[in-house]
Amino acid sequence: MKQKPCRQPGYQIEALDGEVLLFNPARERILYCNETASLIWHLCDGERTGDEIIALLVEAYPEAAEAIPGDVKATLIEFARHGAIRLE
Amino acid sequence: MNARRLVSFANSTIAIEHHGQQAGEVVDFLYRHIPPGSAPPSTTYCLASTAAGALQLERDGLRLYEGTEVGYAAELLMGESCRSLAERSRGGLLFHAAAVARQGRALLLPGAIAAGKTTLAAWLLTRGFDYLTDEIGYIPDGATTIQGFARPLNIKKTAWAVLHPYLASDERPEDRLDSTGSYLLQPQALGARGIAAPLPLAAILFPRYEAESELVFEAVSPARAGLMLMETLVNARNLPDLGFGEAVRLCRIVPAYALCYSHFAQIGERIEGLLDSKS
Repeated sequence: MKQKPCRQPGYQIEALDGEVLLFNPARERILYCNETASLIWHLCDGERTGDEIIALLVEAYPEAAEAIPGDVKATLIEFARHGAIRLE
Repeated sequence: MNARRLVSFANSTIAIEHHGQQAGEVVDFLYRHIPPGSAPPSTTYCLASTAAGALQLERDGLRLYEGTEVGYAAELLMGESCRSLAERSRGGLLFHAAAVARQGRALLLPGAIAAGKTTLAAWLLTRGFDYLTDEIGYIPDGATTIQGFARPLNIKKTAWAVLHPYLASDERPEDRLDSTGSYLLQPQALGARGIAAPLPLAAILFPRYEAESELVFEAVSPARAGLMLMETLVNARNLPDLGFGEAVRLCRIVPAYALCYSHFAQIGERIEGLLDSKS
């Protein structure tokens, strides 16, 4: 994944016990993020590619290395589907 | 006999006018457990008995129904009432939800249409719970008390066979009104101990009936509860940030659970356990 995901403006973030709700009042949209998705959201700063996000998470959580690429890809697809990120 | 009744709920008020004896009896049946309102109404409904023995229902002068189906007219009027009240409700969160209470503590049962919340609420009444509502519950901003719109329960005829064994043996005919696809039933007919005033909200339970399913009864995280609550919020358009901030505040304070069931015997006393005082 060579593109750089970037968070779209207008989202309010509420963190609850490690999980996150992303709320965009203008678009009347709410996204639920588990702990993994919350991490990925925070890493979508427009500076890192999808592959770099994967590498960073694998280094931080080596015990989950096998699952991380799939989780990251699926989460970014979900974010993009809801218009929460753009891919640069 | 003509009269006018104001119905206020969730910072919203409508007026119900009725003309004729039968219309008056229907209005009494529908609203007897709802305290009289006081604010200027946004909408006026008029239910009138005609010389031909029919009922006419109008909303602000617009004819909604004319016919001899008393139950249908009653169900239509109550549905319209809830819709109109919700349209202008503000100052708190109004949920599409049932609510019951036990030992002075309330349980909110939010859910979409056909989730099974009315059927579950009805069953809990037969087990001695107090009744708040089977349709809309209101939590004012900053509070954790819940108010219920104490209308007669609207029980689908498909659910009737499941509930009938639990009904009080001395059910009175005047406690039930038959509509096309459902029964409108006074909570006393289910053995409800009382109609509850606003009470502290002790727990939120998201019910889902699913035929032949195994029982699922599990805690829901605050974030997931927030998402699920927002999906049942019916006055979001009238609230700052669509009520998101208040919904999140509520989920930080009130524990939430999810229930998937296929028959009542699976549930046992789990729901009582959510509300019983911890000593």
